[in-house]
Amino acid sequence: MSRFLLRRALWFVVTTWAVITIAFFVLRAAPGGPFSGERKLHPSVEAALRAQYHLDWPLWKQYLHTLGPLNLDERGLFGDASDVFGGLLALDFGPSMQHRDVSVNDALAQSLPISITLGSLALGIALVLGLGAALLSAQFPGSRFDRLVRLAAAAGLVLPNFVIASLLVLVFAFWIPIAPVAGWGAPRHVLLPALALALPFAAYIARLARAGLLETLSKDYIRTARAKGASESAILWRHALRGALTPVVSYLGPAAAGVLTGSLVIERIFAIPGAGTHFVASALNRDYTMAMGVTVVYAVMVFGFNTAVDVAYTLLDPRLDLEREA
Amino acid sequence: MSLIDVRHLRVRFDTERGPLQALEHVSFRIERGEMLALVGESGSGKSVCAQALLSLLPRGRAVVETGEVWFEGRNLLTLSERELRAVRGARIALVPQDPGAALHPLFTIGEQIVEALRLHQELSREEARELAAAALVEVGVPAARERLDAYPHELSGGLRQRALIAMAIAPRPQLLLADEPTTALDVTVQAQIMELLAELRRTRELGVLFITHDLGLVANYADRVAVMYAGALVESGPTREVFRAPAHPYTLGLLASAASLGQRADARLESIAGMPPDPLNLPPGCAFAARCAFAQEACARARPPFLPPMGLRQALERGVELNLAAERRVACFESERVVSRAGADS
Amino acid sequence: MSAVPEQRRSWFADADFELALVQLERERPQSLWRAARERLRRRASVRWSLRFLIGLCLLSFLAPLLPLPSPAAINLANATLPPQLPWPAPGALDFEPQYWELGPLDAQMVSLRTSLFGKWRTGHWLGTDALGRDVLARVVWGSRTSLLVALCAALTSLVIGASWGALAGLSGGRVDNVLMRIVDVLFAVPTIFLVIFLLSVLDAPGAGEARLSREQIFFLVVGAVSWLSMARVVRGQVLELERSAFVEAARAAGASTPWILTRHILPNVLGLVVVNLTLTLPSVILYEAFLSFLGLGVEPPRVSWGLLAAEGAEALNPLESYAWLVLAPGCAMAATLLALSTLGDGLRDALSVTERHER
Repeated sequence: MSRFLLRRALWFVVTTWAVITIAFFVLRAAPGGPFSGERKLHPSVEAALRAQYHLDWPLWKQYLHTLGPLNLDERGLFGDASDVFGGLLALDFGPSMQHRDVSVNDALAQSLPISITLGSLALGIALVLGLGAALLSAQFPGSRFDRLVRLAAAAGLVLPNFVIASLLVLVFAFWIPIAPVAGWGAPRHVLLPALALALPFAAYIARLARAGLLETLSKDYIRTARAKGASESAILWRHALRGALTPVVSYLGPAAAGVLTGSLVIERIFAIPGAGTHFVASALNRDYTMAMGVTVVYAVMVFGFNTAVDVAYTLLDPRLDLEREA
Repeated sequence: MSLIDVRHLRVRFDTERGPLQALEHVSFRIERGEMLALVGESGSGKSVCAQALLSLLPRGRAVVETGEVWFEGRNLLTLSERELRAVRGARIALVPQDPGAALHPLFTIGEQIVEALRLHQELSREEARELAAAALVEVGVPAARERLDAYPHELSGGLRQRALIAMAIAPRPQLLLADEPTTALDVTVQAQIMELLAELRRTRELGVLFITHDLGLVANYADRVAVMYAGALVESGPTREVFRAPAHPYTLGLLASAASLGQRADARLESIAGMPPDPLNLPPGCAFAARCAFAQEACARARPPFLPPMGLRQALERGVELNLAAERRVACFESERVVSRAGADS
Repeated sequence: MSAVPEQRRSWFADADFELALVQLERERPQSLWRAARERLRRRASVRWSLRFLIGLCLLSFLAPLLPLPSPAAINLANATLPPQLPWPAPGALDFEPQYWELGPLDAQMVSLRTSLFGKWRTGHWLGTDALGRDVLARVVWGSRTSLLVALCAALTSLVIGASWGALAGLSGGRVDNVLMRIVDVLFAVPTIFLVIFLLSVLDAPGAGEARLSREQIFFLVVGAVSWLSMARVVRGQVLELERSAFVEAARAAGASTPWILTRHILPNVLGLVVVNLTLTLPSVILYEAFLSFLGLGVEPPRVSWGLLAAEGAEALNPLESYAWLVLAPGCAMAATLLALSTLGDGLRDALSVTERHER
């Protein structure tokens, strides 16, 4: 396990570096900059701003500056000029280039908990709904409920989440007003967005778990359990669920990434001040520091979640050996 | 009263290609402490038979058309699911075939044996663990206590098979349905397991339905033998007598192909010519007729009934020791010729 | 003591009789595709899906020929008409060709349409949007974008993904290692964020003498991210086949490498590729919708299903729900994706390809 985690840590460094590098160069290669916005700045003001953020430096120097807490200035690598920001190695993303009085760290500290709350709630709902539906549907395959679950799962997979969101709003905010349309703060605000975010993943989990349960139920060892005198519900919950859980757990990695992506849309529909809003805006506005900050944080979250999923996977299945897999 | 009395068991499978008669009027009895060996080619329906006794066949696909399974005064086929669960494992235990697939890969051996025990007895986890370890010792697993925490994939095929046997005998059942329990074992362990079963038959009066290919083991350990072909019993009787004077050509062929059981060292190993019939398309007459050297015209037209064989007296006159009172049954019109042939051979 | 001889073609396997039947069928490898077609034909859902998809492709390709109103024709007097049953007016005689810049083929089809139907157009059968544009016409024209995106992703998956995976699987060793590590890194990078970057960035207003139109960039980017899973799946299958008994047997019998490739590997990989393709297309179409919602998809006045649904979603309000503006493109999309995934599931079952979960 420790060797696996070590290798993972190494991969983590490589991947994060790749993300940073790609994001950095793609951003800089893009035409326009953070100060070429809608209102034209006076050339001297713009020059001053560019100097303040070291955008007048050569690209390699800007790159190093972004990467680490290197105290760079005009004279060389280790000058002592006052620094604008510490760099990614110091976990300091610097000030936003659009909203000059806000640091990227502060903006993320405010918005990220909201996104994480929404995302983890959505994942939880997806797991509970998906597994619950699959268990019931595998207990009575071919029943009316089973057919309903399969239909709902199919529908959840073929609709974009903003369409699901608008249908939910239509039904639960307009026709049967039990939830607010938008906003953030009270627990009731989280209901519709979390549900809208969760449903496509719940649908996939239900499909995956149902197929897994039915496959496991046809295995020889289920007959062994039955021959021992285990009850049908014990067989489903204890013997079959354990086997069907592994594909679901391995899907949680991609699902978490998907939830992050989906939150970009959901946060916009429900006017939730999460990190997703920063993401699109910063990319469009060439807010170099903010864009870098959000991208790195999202990449790290996806990576961390995938690693956690891999560890959980081995705990579930003793046959897997992470040392060898790594 | 017999321990278990199976009467006219008929099982049909509904497949995509049509109905498939898996068991055809299967009847047999097992007494307390007795071992009945069920032999036949793979696919002849031996395992289906064992599973049908405990209603373990896949629901919806397998239909028990007729039959009664009398055990401890009740017909198992009419019991409710709840009543059946109290019988399964506790009174009648199954040792499934294929130990690689029959153990749950995600639970330790100990967890699986403990579950079998605690389903039927009020036991603490620790007590159940003790009993599980004792059961593993009984089936000859070395370092039993450590094996409790092993996962199936960490054990060899032989150990897995013994774990399955331990799991079956741990709750002290009265009848054991052992589906090829020794195929994955080497000869010494095989003998060990067979001796263990013999011991349990003596001490606990355990009845055993022993499903196997190994006619050598049958000859040495089984009290009686039943031969199955294409879903139907073709011959049954005391092992010694059936092996001495088989009355069905299929039994004769089986025995001939099994290296003649040490009779003549130079005897040629024979195999039965031809293929078993298509299960979805059984012939109207005797299912074995197409491969049978004794077959007459009548054999292809009507199915022979399962009756005491003819010609045993003549065989007796030729000096073959036979107990006429014992239950011998055979499903063959030409059993007389078969018996005389067998008598002539020996 | 020897055991009773085991019969290879058993009467039926005790463990699972159906498995035995299937295995009997599998013993004739050349009939894989024929058997698959047989099994597909027996499933009504697959037949209907296939018919639906073919119909949709025709409809979408022939959209300029149909007597629909112009998808971009604004008429504020007719804004937000709901769909009605029965149609109050089957059509009207006020067609004015108003399109965005059309390609030469489409332009010819439009002129053919005017000479065929003149000024006649269908009524607003599915209602109109906030600017009085016909929803049906927009949905039909919008299908072109969605299908084109799907086609584009399919092509890159096939051309880049499949050959990348096959190259890795066949060459093995260091080449395999390097190629798959690249895929691993690209997988770990949250591609969606790079897509958003690429789109917003390559399409900046100051992009100078734009070499590529926004549509072209869009298709390129979506294609560029959709080949990764195909590469993995194909590599896995090729490796498995390389190690399989029948390839070994062929090699032992002295078969040449090209022979093994064309006779043994290609036919077996093909099934997997087809299945993977039908199962990734829905996600690509959803991807288009997602990007359109964020304003990164095709540009108005052009239309796509994603754009229409996004417009509909934003038009929702508690007073007048205008539900048809979401439902029309939503249903079109749902039906298409459902047909695609039904077809994919059917193909997977028919070719008995196991679903491998891609991460």
